[in-house]
Amino acid sequence: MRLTPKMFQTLLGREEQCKGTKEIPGLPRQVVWRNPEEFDEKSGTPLGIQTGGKMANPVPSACCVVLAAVVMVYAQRHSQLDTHVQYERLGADVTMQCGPMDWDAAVTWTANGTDIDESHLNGSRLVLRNVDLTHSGQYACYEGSSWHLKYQTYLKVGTSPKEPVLMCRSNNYPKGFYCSWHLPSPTYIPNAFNITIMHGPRELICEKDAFPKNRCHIRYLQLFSTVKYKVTLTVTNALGRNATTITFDEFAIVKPDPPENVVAKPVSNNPRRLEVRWQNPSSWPDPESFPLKFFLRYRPLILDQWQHVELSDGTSHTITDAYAGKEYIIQVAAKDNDIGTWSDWSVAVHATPWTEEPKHLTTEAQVAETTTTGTSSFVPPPTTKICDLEAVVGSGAVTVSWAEGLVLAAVGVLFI
Amino acid sequence: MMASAEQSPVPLQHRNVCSRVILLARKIRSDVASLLESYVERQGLDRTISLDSVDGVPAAAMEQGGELTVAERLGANLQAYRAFQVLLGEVLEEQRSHLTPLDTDFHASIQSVLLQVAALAYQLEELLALLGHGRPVWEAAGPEDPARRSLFEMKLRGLKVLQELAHWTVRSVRDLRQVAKHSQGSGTAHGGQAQKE
Repeated sequence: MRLTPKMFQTLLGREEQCKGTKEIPGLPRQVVWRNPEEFDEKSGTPLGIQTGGKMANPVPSACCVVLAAVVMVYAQRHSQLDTHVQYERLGADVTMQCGPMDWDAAVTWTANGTDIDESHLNGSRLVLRNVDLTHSGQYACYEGSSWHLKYQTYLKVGTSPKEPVLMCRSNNYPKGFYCSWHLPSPTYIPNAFNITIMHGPRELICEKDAFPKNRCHIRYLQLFSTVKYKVTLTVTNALGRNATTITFDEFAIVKPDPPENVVAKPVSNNPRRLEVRWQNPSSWPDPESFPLKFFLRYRPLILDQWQHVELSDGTSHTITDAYAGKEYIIQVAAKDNDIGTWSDWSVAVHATPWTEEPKHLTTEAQVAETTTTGTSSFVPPPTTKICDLEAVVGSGAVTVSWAEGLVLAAVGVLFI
Repeated sequence: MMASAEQSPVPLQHRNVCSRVILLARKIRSDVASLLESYVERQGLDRTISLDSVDGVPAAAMEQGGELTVAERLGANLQAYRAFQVLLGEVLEEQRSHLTPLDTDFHASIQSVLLQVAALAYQLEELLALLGHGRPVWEAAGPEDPARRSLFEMKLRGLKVLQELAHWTVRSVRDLRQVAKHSQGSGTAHGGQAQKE
């Protein structure tokens, strides 16, 4: 129990000196110590602490320590009042009674250790109107003069549960199925869930999963049954209860997990092919008896339209119509051959078809370069004119310069 | 020599027959799924209606974990499809005589499924013989006096027949895969000739 400031002041008894034992109503005979904030006018030091000059009387100081200890023990004893937990609806008006106190008794209420303004009191009762989540907390009521703790409660504001959302699915057929649930909106107070599974007249056991908490799994006791399963989930809290029931056929809830380890690779020397491989989901227990079929979708990143391929067996496929050089995104889904629904899409993988390495350009100039000794790749200096045949060697511009030269020479000859 | 070169190894023959039966079972399942949609629509029934009161239809349900021998698996399937032959015949007759006398397309759909079921039963008999198992004795139950059945009971019974048949086809596909796997593992057929290459 926390000592509120008012209690502290009262215990101190401002006007009293720590002269020895002092009797305070409601408390055993004990010593009261002074508020250290009070100053001795003479020494200028807090009355409880005196340094230098006149020494503090050790006997009263010891009494103060003993008193403090006794007060704390007493307070703790009183705080062992039963702490109630009180659940109230959001928006409700809440009235708290101060234990056995009369209506007209003088009391002080606190919320989380902070005094509550008297305007919220109706006699000794605390009235909270239109409570919201911020009103949740610990409330305590103390008798006016004695500061006896008379009542304490923990107020939790919340709502009754709405209809829960329940789903069941078999991702490991024919072993069993699981059901999972959640509330569409929080209640802010603890909820308890109870699930029952009926298969005809037979009730099945739903074993709770350690994680997540809102899931349990059921083993199939029969296969291929036309008798439907009926699952009822009830959620209860201190403010109410709600329930939902779903009914389904054994086959209808079969939905495998997505394929695993999807890998897509280019095919050497094939600019339009991509080889895709994957594995059955590890949760599917018997692919020999219940083989899966697959649905593959792929598209280049630059386009939105998917292409689809359904594959009745095997765990690989070669895409043969990929756009050369374009990066593709590929996903795979799985479904039992005969029953249930398609899995979610697998994790997407990216791949780009094989492309040819760019070849080195081969020109006459390069050939000339390799046959002329003492020359190497030559970059003409900025001042060199393109048509300067003597300066430009090993450049494609040489061919043009020679042609120009011949034309000029021919024209010159004609004019001459 | 020529005969041995052309003869399929026995296990391969088993697997081929199993594959054919699986294909036929899946075809039946697909057709029955469509037929069920038509049936509930024409009879004005809700698919979720309780059919617990309907007797005399072989249930596909089997206890999980119970291992059956090849002969037991095939025998159970064969018995079921023989029963469905009879039941579908009765359903067809009730539709023609009482429930949907003018809906010849609907009758043709039922007839088509009936023929496929008959073919499947025949294939199962052949497979049993191929595997060296005897055919289970079939004793058809005496026909129930249709006059004892109300129109509503006829409708429910027809729905039950189709629902159980659909589930049997799924079971059959699984059973046939088990038989094929067993055949692959056993190498030689029971009482069959040794494989010749």
